Amino acid sequence: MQRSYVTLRRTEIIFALLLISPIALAQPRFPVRQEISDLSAHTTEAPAIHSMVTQGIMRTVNAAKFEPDAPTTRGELATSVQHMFKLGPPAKPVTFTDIPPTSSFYSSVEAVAPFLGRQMLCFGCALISNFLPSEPTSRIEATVLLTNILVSRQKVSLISPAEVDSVLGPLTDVNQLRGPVRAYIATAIRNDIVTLAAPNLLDPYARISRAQTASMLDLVQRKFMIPPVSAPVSPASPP
Amino acid sequence: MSIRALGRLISQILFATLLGNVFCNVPSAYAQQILNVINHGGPTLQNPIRVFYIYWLPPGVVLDTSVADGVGNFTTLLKRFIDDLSGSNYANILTQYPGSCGPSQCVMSNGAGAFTFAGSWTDSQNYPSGRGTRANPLQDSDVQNEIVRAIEQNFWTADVNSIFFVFTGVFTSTGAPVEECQGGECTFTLFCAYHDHFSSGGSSIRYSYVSDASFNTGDCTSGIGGPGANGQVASDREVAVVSHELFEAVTDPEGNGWFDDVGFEIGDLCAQMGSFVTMNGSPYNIQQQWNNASANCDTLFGPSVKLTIATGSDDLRGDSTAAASLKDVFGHTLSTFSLKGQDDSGWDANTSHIVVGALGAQVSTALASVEVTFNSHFFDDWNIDAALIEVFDTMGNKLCSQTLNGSPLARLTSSSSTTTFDAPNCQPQHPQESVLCYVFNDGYTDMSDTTDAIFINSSHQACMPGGPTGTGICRKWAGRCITSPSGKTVTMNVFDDGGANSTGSVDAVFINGHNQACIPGGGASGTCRRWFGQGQTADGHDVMCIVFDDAYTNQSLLSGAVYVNGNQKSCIPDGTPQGTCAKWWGRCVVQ
Repeated sequence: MQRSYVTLRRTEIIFALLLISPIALAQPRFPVRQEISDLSAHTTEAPAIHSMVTQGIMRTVNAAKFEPDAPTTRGELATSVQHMFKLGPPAKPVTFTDIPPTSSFYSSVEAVAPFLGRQMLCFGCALISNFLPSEPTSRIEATVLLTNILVSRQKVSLISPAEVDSVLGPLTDVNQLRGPVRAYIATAIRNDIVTLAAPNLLDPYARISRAQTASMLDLVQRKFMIPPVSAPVSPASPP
Repeated sequence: MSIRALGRLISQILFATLLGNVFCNVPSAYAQQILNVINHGGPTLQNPIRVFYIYWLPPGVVLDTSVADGVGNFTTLLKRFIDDLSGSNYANILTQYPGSCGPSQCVMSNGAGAFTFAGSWTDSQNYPSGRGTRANPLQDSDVQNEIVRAIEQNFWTADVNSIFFVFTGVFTSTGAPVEECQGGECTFTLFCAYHDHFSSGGSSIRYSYVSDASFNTGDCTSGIGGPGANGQVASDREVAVVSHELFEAVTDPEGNGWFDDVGFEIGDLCAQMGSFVTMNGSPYNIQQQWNNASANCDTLFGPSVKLTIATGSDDLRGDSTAAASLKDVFGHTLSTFSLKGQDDSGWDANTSHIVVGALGAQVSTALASVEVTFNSHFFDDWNIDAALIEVFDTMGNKLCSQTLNGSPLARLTSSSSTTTFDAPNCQPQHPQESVLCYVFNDGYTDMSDTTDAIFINSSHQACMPGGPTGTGICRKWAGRCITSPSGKTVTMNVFDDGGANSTGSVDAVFINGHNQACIPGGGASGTCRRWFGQGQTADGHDVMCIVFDDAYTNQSLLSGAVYVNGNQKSCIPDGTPQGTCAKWWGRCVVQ
């Protein structure tokens, strides 16, 4: 009985291999890791950068350079986040004066708009109507955007007011956080969506470099099991 | 987990289960409701609200480069806006947002003197360290220092109901706006303006920085195009931004007042939604503001009812809820609004709380009573020791008030959860009579019973509730209306827009195939006009009606004119081209 079972298993395996191999051959090849020449000073972030570029979530600025120290712009972040989370258009269109439907950023900005938390970022402000896609983005902007999406997808839950106080209490720059954004930042810290800039220092309005963005997105993708995405046709083309 | 928390969890599960079973599709109105701003327990400004303007304009900086002197009507218009704001329909929106006043609550009263223009000052002092450019922007601390300097220079006094606005302008040499940053955000990255507070000399200073709306490169125009309501679009746009900040500073001066879960205050929810209003006879471009009562952006609020309720020795606990229904003399519900939601803090014993809601009808329909319904959670009981009921018009004028006291005035429990507070002071001097009508065919045949509700069906017949198939009892004509209970006859009229081509009083109207209202005469097709209405009793009193949907929902204000639109809905004028429309017309009353 045991022998026939083994025989059967072998047969099944061979049959299965025969069945699968044409399918496997028909699959596209896993994208070739692109050589990037300017990461020598960024060995820590290099795997994340390669992962993001390979998936087309972030792009090299030309065939071989990533410019890891350049600031991430709002437009780039919107494009990357839309691609990584496969965000569709919002139920209710969001209008920015400087992002008309003809803009290359239109679909990305529309998709991330419900998660930007602009009012939280500037509590008490009357906001401008422009998105300003070329403006450098900050650690707090990226953090709120990612946390908002993860909350909406029930990957994380906002922590309680008491926990918020506990998480933010030790920060020396906590007074830069006012109103509802406190809960989102504390949740992000608790869930490692953002790491502190230094012990007890959030530095929320510091610009975030392209290497830092890659690390942040890579960490979120792995930790929260966001499925990998396929690369676009031309990963080297500028956004 | 505490018993209260456990109870709440169970009720949430039960509620969610019920909701899932019964209401699979949550209507959009519900989604809109949860957008409403929430009271976080902090203070709000009380009148008189004192407004100060500081124009910080060093040499080479002006308010508007499009006018020769760099100012034009900029400063006079901004002052006039404050002068005209008191007692306006627009300012009345603020009266629904009470705040903490020590252990109790208080709320701004609209009306003359609600806002006072307390002073202005133009400072030509240079910006510190050459700041003001994008490369070297002004900082929030500079603005705060400027306010302290202005107070000292002008011997102004700041109290908790004062707000100081700081305006900068445009560099004449470059045409670039003066740039400013607060925290990590700036005029060139995220904001047009902001409001905040700081401490100085032991006082809390409430203030706002406002960039030059027309020149901010991030777009702060509020959709207001030239030439603007007062002929200088830069100053008209600035009024719109000031209105945004002023209304938010009143309702959330310290960041712990009225805002929603993600930080939207009443101006933010309607950001850059410019609108036109007339206040004290003068035109203004302003920004719409969030109106919790309508769950929408608005430029007016009211008539309203302000309820001040004093809890007695037994509190209203956090998990229990309470609501108020406003009733007219016939017992009809005019409106219903929440007194305390489940997420609101409890009402402690011996504290007073203010809730302001829409009356839900025009002022001539007087308030007869307020029914308070209590939803007790886990055997909570609630004593009410006093209730003050006040009715205000849309400009904040108090029309009536009723004070009720007792010890307790009412005790609400899980088994006795409703109490009614009569408001005889707010009832009409002369009892209001209702009006009932009939539907019938030619020659007053096939007369129906009387009814207070009529709809027009797709065959243009007048139908009242009933009938074997639920499609109503339908006849060609509606009319022969009488007052109830006195039985006086009521006649009506048909007429065109603006009351033109009025035909004279009759007791019967039918709707023709073109949705016109027709009276007998003028041949077989009758004499037809767009509107019917202008009802009158035999002794000369006006009769007005409302429109509403099934089950008397969505009741409109009273109107003396009704027309039938292309969808066979009955419509009353409301200032829009289409009017306020609903399936039924009726519930007519004698004025």
